[in-house]
Amino acid sequence: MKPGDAIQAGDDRGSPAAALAYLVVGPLAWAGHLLLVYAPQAALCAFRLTGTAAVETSIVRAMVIGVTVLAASAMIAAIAAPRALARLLRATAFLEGGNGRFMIAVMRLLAVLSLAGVAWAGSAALVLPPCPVLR
Amino acid sequence: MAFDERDLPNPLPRPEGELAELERVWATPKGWRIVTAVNNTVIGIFYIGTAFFLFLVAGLLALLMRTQLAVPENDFIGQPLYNQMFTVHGTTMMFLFAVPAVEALGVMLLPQMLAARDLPFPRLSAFAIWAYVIGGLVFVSTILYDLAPAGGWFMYPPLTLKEFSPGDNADFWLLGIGFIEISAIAGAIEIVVGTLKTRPPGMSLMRMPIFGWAMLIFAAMIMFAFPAVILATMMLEIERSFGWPFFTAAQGGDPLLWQHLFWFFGHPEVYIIFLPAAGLVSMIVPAMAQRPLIGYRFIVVALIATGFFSFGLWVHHMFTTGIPSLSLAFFSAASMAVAVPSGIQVFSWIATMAASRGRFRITTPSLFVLGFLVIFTIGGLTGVMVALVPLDFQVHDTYFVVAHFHYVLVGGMVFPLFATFYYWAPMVSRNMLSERLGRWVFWLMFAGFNVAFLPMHLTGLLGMPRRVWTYPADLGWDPLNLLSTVGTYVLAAGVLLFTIDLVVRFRPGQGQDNPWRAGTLEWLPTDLYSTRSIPLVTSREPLWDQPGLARDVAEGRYFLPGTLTGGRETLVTSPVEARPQYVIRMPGPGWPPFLAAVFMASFFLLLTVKAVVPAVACGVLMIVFCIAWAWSLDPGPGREVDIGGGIRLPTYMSGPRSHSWWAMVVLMFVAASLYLAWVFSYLFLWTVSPEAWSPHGAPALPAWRWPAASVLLLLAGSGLLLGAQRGLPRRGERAAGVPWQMLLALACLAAALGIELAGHWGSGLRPTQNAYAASVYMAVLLFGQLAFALAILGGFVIARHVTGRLDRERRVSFDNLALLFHYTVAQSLLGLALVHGFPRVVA
Repeated sequence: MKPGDAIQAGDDRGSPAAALAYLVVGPLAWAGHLLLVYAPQAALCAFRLTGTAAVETSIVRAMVIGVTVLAASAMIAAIAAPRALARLLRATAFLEGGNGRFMIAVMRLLAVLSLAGVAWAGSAALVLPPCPVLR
Repeated sequence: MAFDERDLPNPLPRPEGELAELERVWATPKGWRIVTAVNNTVIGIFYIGTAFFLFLVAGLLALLMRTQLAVPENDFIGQPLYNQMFTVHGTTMMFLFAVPAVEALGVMLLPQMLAARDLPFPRLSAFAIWAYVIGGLVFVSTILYDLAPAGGWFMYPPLTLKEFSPGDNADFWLLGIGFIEISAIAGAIEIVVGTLKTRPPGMSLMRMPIFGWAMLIFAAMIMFAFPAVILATMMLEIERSFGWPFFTAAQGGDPLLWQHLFWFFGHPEVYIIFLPAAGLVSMIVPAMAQRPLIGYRFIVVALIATGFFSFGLWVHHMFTTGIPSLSLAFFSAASMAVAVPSGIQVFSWIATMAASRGRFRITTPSLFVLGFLVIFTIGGLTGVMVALVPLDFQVHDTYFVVAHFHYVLVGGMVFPLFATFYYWAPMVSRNMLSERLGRWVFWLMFAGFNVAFLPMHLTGLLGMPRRVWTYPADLGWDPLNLLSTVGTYVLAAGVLLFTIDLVVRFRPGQGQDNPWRAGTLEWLPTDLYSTRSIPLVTSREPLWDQPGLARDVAEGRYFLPGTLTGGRETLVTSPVEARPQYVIRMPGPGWPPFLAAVFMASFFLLLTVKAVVPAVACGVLMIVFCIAWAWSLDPGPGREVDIGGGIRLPTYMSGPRSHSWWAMVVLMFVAASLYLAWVFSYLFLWTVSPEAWSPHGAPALPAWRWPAASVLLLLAGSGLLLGAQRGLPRRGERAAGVPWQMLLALACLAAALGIELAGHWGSGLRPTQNAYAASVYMAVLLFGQLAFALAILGGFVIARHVTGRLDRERRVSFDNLALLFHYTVAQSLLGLALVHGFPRVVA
C-alpha cells in the first residue's frame, strides 16, 4: 500500500464547525438549559414581579419544568437518531469511514451526561420553593 | 496499517546537504541572543523553568505561613505581612505557576506529539512567554518591598476598593494579573490553532493523543473563562482609579458582581489546570502499562463534558451570599454532575493499569501518577461534599475548604506535573532524572502532603477559619496545626530533593531514545527542527503499530524531509481529518517579540505606579515592535512544493483555510466573551438597583437620532470595507481607491464611537454618577478599545498596500482587519440596542 492511497490533500469532507456542533450538541443543550432556568428565575425572584409567592412558585416551577422537558427531549432525540441530527447539522460527511463510529459514540455519550445534568438540575424545581433563601 | 517500504513518500538516499540545511535553518541563537529564540523546545524550557521557580517562591511563602501557624498566638509574622503572603501565595500558585506551567507543557510537548516542526505562531509564543517571565517576576517581588496585594487571591471588593485598600498594592494585582492573562490568551490562541491545524497527515481527531484533546479543551476554556476576570479587573481598577462605582452598593453597584465575574473564571480555572494534567496522566499510564489506554472515547467525552460543566459551577463559591435556594440547587447539581466525567477518567486509568496484567512498571512517574489518583480522588470526594449546600454552609471559609482545594489542586496538578518532569525530561535532556532519588522525592512529597493537609479537614470542622494569621490556644486546633506544619516541611524536603536532582542531572540537549518504550510521536528521534520528516499516522500509538516508523522518519522518508522554501516551515492539515493543506513559512528568531513583551510589561507596571508618561512611551514602543514583528509576516504566494508521495502543496494560504484566519476567529471569540461578560454585568446591576437606571435614577437617554446615526455609520463602515475587499488589485498592481475606502471605514467607526460618547455626555450622564452610568461608559470603553486596535491594524494594512504588499492574493493582513472590523460592528450594534433600548423597555 502506498501512503498516497491512505491520505488525500485538501479540505475535510465537511465543515469543521458542523462536526464540532454535532459532537457537543448535548453540552450545548445543557448550557442553554442552565441559562434559561437560572436567568429568568433569578430575575423573577429579584423583582417579585407578581407580588404573590404562590403565583411565583407556579410560574417558576412551570418554567423550569418546561425548559427541562424541552432540553431533555432534544437530547433524547439526538441520542436516538444520530444520523438525523447529522443531516440537520450538515455533518453527515463525517459519519462516513472510520471517524463515523467515533463521532456518533462521543456525541451520544456527551448527550447522556448532559441529560443527567439537565434532569438533576431541573428536578430541583419539584421540591424547592423558587425564591426564599435557605437560611 | 503498514506501508511497503519502497512506497514511503520520499526515497533514499536523501540529497546531500538536506539535513545540514535543516539544521542551519532551525539553529538556536547563541549567547545572549538566546532571548530572541522562538523554537518551542528552547522557549518551552524558559517557560517551565520560570513557572517552577515561581512555584518554589510561592511554596516558600507557604512554609513561612505554616511556621507562623505551628503554635497558637505566634508572633513570627505580623498580620499585614501574613495577609500579603497568603495573597501572593494563592495568586502565584494559580496565575503564575499552574496555568503557565500547563501552557508551557503545551508549547513544549504538543509540537513533538504532533510531529510538527513548531506551533504555527512561534513568535506569539515567545511574546507570551517573555511577557509572563517579566510580569511574573516583578509581581512576586512586590512581597519584598511591602507592595504586595493583601486582599486574598480572589481580591473581593469592597475590601479591595480604594477606601479599604489604599496604596498601589491592589493595583499590582489588578494590572499585573490582567496583563499576564493577555499572555495566557496569546498562548491559548497558539494552542487551539496548533492542535487543530498542525497535526501530521492521517492524525484525524479520533487518533489525536489525549494530551492534544486536553490542551484543545484547556485553550478553549481559557478563551471563554479569562475574559470574565479581565473585565472584572478592568472594572475594579477603573473604580479604584477613577471612581466609576461598579462595586459600591451606595451608588447602585454590587460587590457580588465581582464574585460572579471572578468565579465564572475561577471555577473553570480549576479544570483549566486539571485537564492538561489529566491529559498528561493519560499519556503516561499507557506507556507504563505497555498497552493502549482503555476507554479513549470515554476520556474524550469526559474532557469535553468537564470543559462544559465547569462553566456551570461558579455559584457554588457563593452559596452563603443569600442567593435563592432554587438557584443554589441548579449549581449544586452541576457541581455534583462534574464529578462524573472526572470519575470516568479515574476508572479508565485504573482499568488500563489492571489490564496490563502485572506489566505496569512502578517507576517514579508511575508513583506520582498513583499518588495523584489517591490524592485527587480524596479531593474529588470532598468536592462533592462541599457541593451540597447545607454542608457548604457549615464549612465555608474554614480550613476544610483549604484542605479540599489543596487535595484537588496539588493532587490534580502538582503530582501529575512531577510525573511529567520525570517522564518527559529525557525528551529534552541528555540525562534522565534519578530514579533512586525520584522515589525519595515521591514518598517525601506524598507523605508530607497528606500529613500537612489531611488534618486540615478536622481543623476546619472544628471551626478554624481561613486566612487568620494566628489563633488562640485551647480551641482544639493546636496539635492539628503543628502536625500540618511538620507535614509541610516534609513536603518541602521532597521538593528540595527534586530541585537538587534537577540541578545536577538536567542538561538540555539531545534527548534519549524512547526510554519508556512509549507509542506516541514525541518519542521519535528529534533535533532542533523537531522530527527529520513528518510521518503519516495510521493509529493512536504509531510507534507501536507502525514498525520502522522511527527509523524511516529519522532518515527523511516521510513528508517534508528538508526545507523546501529555504526557511522554517511546517505542514498545515485540515482540522478534523488531518489532510495536508499547505506549508507554512514560519518566522525565525528575532528581537521584536522579546522587546514587545518587555515594553508591554513596562507599560502595565509603570501604569501601576502611576508613572503615566513613561508608561505611554512604553506602550507606543510596544506597538512599534509589534508592527515590526508583523511586517515580516504575510509573505505572499510562493511556488508549490512537493512534500513527498506525489503531494504538491501551496506555500501560502489566505481565507478560512489559513492558520491566521483561524487565529483571528479565536480572538473574536475571546472578545465576544469579554463583551458578553459586560452584558451580564449590565443586566445584573439592573436587577440589583433598577432605581439607578435611566430615566429615574439617571438623565434621560439621548434621543433616538444619536444611536441611529451610530448604527448608520457602523453599517457604512462595514460596507466600505466590503467595497475595499472587492477592489483589491491584482498582483503587482495598485488600486488607488482601496486605502481611501479603508480610511473612510475607520473614520466611520471613529465617528460612531464619538457620537455614542457625545450623546451620553450631552445628556448629562457622568460615569461616576452611579453603577448604571459606569456600565454605559464601560460599553463605550470596550467599543473604543476595539476601535483603537482597528485603527492600528488599519494603518498597518494601508501601509502594506502603499508599499505593494497587499493585493487580491497576498491579503492575510486585510482579511484579519476585515474580520475584526465586522465583528466590532456586530458587537457595537448589540451594545447600542442594549444601552439605548433596554432602559426604555423596562422604564
